[in-house]
Amino acid sequence: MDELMNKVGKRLPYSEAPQYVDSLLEKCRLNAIAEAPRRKSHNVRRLWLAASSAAAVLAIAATVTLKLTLSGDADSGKVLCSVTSVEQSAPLSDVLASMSDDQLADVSYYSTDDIPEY
Amino acid sequence: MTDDKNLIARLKQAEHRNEAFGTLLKTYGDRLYWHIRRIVVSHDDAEDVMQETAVKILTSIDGYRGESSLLTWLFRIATNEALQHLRRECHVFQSLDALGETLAERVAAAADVDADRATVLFQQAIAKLPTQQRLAFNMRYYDEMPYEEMAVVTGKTVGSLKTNYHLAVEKIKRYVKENSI
Repeated sequence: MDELMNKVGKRLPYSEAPQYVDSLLEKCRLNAIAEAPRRKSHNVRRLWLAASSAAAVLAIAATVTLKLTLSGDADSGKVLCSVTSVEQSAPLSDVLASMSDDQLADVSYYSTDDIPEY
Repeated sequence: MTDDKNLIARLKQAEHRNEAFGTLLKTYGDRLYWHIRRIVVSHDDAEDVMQETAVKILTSIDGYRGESSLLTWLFRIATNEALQHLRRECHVFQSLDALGETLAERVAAAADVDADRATVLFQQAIAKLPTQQRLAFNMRYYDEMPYEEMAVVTGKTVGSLKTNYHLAVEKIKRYVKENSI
């Protein structure tokens, strides 16, 4: 390896004419001077676009989250309501005691036709 | 270093920017070009990357805070642009390392008519290295850059760069031994 490195040194198998790199650098200089202001304003536009897109996504996400939270509260309210109504309803024996004989007869004697999906 | 500070100060002033940019390219342009050329190999690709690097330098100079040397900062931009250029040639999900064979072929295609076989073989061995090893070898061997500066350019640690350089040397040795006539 050392022998090869000594032989090859830092030479490359390809080369360029001495004027080539100088003329390329001059071309790069002129192009960069013309292009840089355009690129900068383009970058600012892209930044604005990215920022406004992010803001829009955030707003949508916030709206959806808020809506879900509110509807979640409403749902849990309904559940609480039904649970409360069961807890607060009178014991079955009291309900039966308060019913008249006819009403009790209606409850006790029924035909299967009275049950819609029987 | 003082010259660099003066150059950076002038680059940051709108009225001196264009003239200072010319000085910057005159001072470092040649090294940047050959650094890019060793990464992308082909003449046309190196020209495209150099153009893009020059634009990036000019648009980013206001953000340069002087935490690293000017040359290191320029090398970082050039390296990123060159790797970005190579990435465009990769297929989706393909690693840059997979381009080794293509780059080795380009070395042979770009070689001067009178280039000797040892020089071509040596360059092909470098082209076939994984990207990080290739970068470490090129910056250490050709640009004689200290590991600390190489770490700033590549964003890798000094330890991993030393390992990469060592591995690169071993692989080049093996490749040259296996392919020598």
